[in-house]
Amino acid sequence: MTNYISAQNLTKSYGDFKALKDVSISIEKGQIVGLIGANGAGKTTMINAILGLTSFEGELSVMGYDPYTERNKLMKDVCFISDVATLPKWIKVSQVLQFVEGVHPKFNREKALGFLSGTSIPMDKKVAQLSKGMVVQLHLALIMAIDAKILVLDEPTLGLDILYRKTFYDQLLEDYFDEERTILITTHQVDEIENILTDVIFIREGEIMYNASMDDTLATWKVLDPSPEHVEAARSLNPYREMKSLGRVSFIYNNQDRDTLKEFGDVKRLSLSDLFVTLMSGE
Amino acid sequence: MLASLTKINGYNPIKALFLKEVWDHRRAIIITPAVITGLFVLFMIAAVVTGTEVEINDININAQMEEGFAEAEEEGYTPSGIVTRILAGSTALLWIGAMFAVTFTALSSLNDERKDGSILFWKSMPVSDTQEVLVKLATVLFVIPLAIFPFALITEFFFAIIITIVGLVNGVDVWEFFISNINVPLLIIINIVPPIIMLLWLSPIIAWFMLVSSFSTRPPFLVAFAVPALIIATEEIFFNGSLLVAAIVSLFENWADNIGEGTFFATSSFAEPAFWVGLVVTAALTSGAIYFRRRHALA
Repeated sequence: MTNYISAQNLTKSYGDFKALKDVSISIEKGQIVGLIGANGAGKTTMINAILGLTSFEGELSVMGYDPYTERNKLMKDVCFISDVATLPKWIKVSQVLQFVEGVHPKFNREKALGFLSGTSIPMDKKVAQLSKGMVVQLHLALIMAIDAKILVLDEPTLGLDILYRKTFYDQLLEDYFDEERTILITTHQVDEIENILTDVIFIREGEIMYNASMDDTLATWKVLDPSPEHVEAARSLNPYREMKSLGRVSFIYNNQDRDTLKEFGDVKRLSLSDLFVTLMSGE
Repeated sequence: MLASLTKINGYNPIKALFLKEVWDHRRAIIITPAVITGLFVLFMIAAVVTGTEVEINDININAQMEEGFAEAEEEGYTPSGIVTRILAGSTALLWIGAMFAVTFTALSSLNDERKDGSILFWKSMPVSDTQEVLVKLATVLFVIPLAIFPFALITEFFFAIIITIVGLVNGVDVWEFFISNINVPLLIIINIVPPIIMLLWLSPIIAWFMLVSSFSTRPPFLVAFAVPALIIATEEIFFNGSLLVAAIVSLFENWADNIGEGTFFATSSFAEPAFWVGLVVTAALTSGAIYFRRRHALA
C-alpha cells in the first residue's frame, strides 16, 4: 500500500494548551477515512496541519511533502473543501473556473463544466447571488475536476438540506473516488457517511482514541437486543456497555462471537455514532 | 487583444493571480478612473457648450502666445514640452483618484480575504503565499497606474479638442501653437513612467499598508495610521524629535526633488540612495506581510 499521509508524534500547542498530543497516524491510498470528534477535539487542527495551514511539532509527511513549508507543491495533489473555506462572494462563476484553470495544472475545465451542466448554477452570476447549496455544488464541481490524490473535507455539508447532502456524497463516490485517491472527512453527521467510509479515527482532546478499518469495526463491535429471559445471561458475557431505551435493554460487545450472541437475541451492527458515544463516554 | 489579456486559457498562474486582483478590485482599478474620466469629459463639453467666458477678443492672442513661448524657451522649456505638460496636467484628478485607489487596495489586500474566509479557498490552490503577496503588491504599484493610462489618454484627447475649439473661436493659430507641439511619444511616457516611479518612491508606505492588512484584526485603516501616530508621539515625548517623521519627510522631499527635471523621474530617481533605501524597507515590510499570510488562516 502507498502511504499518502504519515504523522509521527504530531503535536500542536497554543501556549499551554495542546490541541494535538503526539498523534501518530498513517493514511494510505484508496482509503476513505472519517475523522470523528466532538467540538474542540483537535480535528480541524489536525486537518490544518495536513493541509499546511498551521505549523506543528513532530513529523508529518503528506504525499512526501512537509505541508507547512511546501504547501504550494502539495496543493497540486491535495484538494480541500471546508465549511469555512468559502468561495469569495465577489467572484463570478465563470471567473472562478478561469482562475482555477490558471493556477492548477491538474484542473480540467471541460470536466467542471460537465458537472455544472447538471446543476442550475448560472455562469454569469456572482457567488454572493447563489444559494448555500449551489456554492457547495460549485466548489465540489471545481474540486472533482482536479486530478488530485487526496481530498480533505472539513464539515463540507454544514448548513445544507438533506437532499444536497445526499447528492454531495453520491456524486463524490460515483464521479470522483477511485482506488488511486484518498478522502479524509470530518463531519458531525456521522450516520450519513458511515456507509462510505473504509476507515475511522476517533479523536478526543488532541489524542487518537480509536483507529480502525470499518471492516474490523463491524466485525468486532456488535449490539445485542436480548429477549427478556436472556438479559442476565447476556449481561454475564461482559458487555462493553449497557444501554436502556424505552424499557428495553441492549448490550454492546467488543470482540464477542456473533453466533454466541445470536443465542440470546437479535444481533445488529453497531452504528458509528453509537460506537463514538460508547468509546467517548465509556471511560 | 484585450480579450486575450482578460481571459485565462490553460495553466498560467501569474496571469490568473493578476486577473483575480483586477476582478476583486474592479471598482478601484477600472470603475473609479472611468467615472472620473466620464465626469471630466462631460464637464469640459458642458463648459464649451454653455461657457462664453473663455473668449478673449480684445488682445492679440497669437502675439501673446508667441511671447509666452519665447519666455519659456529662455528658461529652458521647449514649446512641445510645455504643450505636452499642459495636456498631461488635465489628468490630475485621475491621479488623485488613483492615490485613493492605491491606499484602499493596499489596506484591503490581505484583510478582506481573511474576513470573508476566502483565504482558505485561495490557499487550497497550488500558489505560494510569496506569489500571492508579491502579485498584490505589483497590482498596486504597476496595474493601478497602467490601468489609468487609457483613461488618461482619453482625458487628454478631449482636453486637446476643447483647447482647439476654444483656440479656434478666439482666432489662435491652433496648428502653430498647439497641435504641432503635441509630442505623442512624450505624452505616453509622461502618462506611464512618472506615476510608476512615484509609486515606487511611496512603496514603503504601500508595503506598510499591506503589512497592517496582513495581521490586523481591527480595521486596517485605523491601525495603519494609529501605529505610526503612537510611535511619533512616543518619540516626541521621550526623545524630543521623531526619526519616523524625519524618514517620512525625507521620503517626500527626495521624491519631490526628482519631479519634473526633464528626466520624467526615472533616471534621477535611480541615482538617489533614498530611493533604494525605500525599496529595501518595502522588501522588509513585504516579507512581514508574507510571513503573516502564511501564519494566519483566518481573521
